[in-house]
Amino acid sequence: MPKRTDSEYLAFVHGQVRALRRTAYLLCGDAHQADDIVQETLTKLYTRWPGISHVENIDAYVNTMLVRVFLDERRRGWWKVALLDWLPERSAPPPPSPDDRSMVRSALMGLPPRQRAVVVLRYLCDLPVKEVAQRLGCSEGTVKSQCANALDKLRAVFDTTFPLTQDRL
Amino acid sequence: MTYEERDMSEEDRAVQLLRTMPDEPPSPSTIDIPRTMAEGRRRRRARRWSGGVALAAVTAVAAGGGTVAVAALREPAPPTPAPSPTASTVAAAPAPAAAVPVPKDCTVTLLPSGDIRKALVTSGDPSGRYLAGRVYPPSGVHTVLWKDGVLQPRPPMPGADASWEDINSSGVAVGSSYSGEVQYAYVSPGKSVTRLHGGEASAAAINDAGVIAGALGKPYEGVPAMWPSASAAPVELPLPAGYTAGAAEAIGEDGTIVGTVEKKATEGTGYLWLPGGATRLMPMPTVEGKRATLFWPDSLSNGWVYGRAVLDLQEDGSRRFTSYRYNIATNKYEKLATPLGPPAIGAENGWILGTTGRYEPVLLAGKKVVQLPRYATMKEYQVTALSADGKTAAGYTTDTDDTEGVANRPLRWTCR
Repeated sequence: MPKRTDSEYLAFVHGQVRALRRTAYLLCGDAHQADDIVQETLTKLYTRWPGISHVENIDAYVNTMLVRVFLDERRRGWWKVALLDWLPERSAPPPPSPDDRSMVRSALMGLPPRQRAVVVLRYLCDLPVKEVAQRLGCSEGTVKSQCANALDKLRAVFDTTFPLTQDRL
Repeated sequence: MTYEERDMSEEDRAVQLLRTMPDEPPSPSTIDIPRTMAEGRRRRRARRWSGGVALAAVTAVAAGGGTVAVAALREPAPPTPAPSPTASTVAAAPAPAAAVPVPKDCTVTLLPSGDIRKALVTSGDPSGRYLAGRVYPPSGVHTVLWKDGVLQPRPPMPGADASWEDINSSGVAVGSSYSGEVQYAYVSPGKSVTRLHGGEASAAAINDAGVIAGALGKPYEGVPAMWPSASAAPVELPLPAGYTAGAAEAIGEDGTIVGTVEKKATEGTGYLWLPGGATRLMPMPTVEGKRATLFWPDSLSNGWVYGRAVLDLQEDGSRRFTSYRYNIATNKYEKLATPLGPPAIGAENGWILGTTGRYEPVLLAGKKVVQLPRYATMKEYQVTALSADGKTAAGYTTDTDDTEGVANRPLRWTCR
């Protein structure tokens, strides 16, 4: 099988970079960190590029890499400073804000990273449970239970922030 | 409501609210595609040897201001070990540099992992009888232990991303896992698994006396520590002035501990805690005429520290790795016959286990590089354990695969 070429890499990246940025932004909630995640993911991809000619679904491959870069980086703690304010267990509930969407994002960022990744991939990237499991390297059962736990936590936040009587939806 | 029902609830209000979020980052992209290629090429050259640490993308910072300047031995070692006139009290004598026997008749064996093919080895003991690792059934990954190549009925370590990082010759395993975002250290003396004292912690190594080495606190921010026994409270290992974090990584049978220490916003570099309380910042070897930026220790055996010198070049921002072993008694480095991907694991007979730039598993014996046999047609390997006599090595494959992602197979090599 021929090795993948640089022009193939560039064509792939130009086609995918916006979608990768969006996913990274949903995962980490910060545009600059999102760019760092994508930069690192693409660097990893290019490092392996000549050797992955057997990978048919490069799209899934690179998205898996992206999620792992996000989780690895979180674990290393580089971004803790930025995220600390959002951890709901440690901080008071966020004050009401005119921008409901930023409240939604704060609630999402309040989830632990793996749970957040499950929610983003499952509900915002609309991936089937099986694919979410593959990308996170866990079982389908774990994806389902993490989804359920995450939605419980989000509901608790949303029910306080957006009472149903306001009929927003 | 079952998980399945909840998961499928497309109408869930929480999900609907989530979908109101804008997914387009609010600022223009700063992604530099040419830089991904430039950096990717450099990593291909460095062949992933930088490990995760290189993600920090730090500028070159000399770690050990005021350390003893020691010229590395750039030539092959003299036929006999230099006598040690220094005042060092290290008990272990260096392994002889001459007359290192060459490994012969090496064979590879796939370790059993039940019905599950994906499994790997994370560590081994000095006798070569015990190996620890993980298997990946669909129900969830868990830790396992082998004795003489047979899976043992030992309970798995609780927590996520669990890993036994070391075992001693009595089969006592130590390691760490995550409970949520918090890492805890565990010990398994046999039929049980218990958490080590000290709260948030990681355990990296245990010697045959049962002394455990690791770190207290968060990963990459914690302080080096040791536990005198599995049930003891941890003792923080002293950091040199100006250094704020670190981790112990290996412990010798005489109690010598090697690890890394770091200043704020720098990467770690090698540090020794010697029996009797003396400590030493490892000097920097001279690589290609330049003083190395950092030294990253991988393993400790018989008075030698095995690892890599990191040389950051200001001119072009590149980072180079060179494999060395360091004689604790003589305070001198010896360049290895060939660069090794991490970890470089030394044995008492002077053999060194590592991987080549093409991820092939090799044993170095002096200047001889002996390639270990491949398992089936698998091409990429990670090595994780070498017995004290050098005759038993372990590791796993890391070939990528369409269906499996990374196809890990747990392996043991034996040589004569």
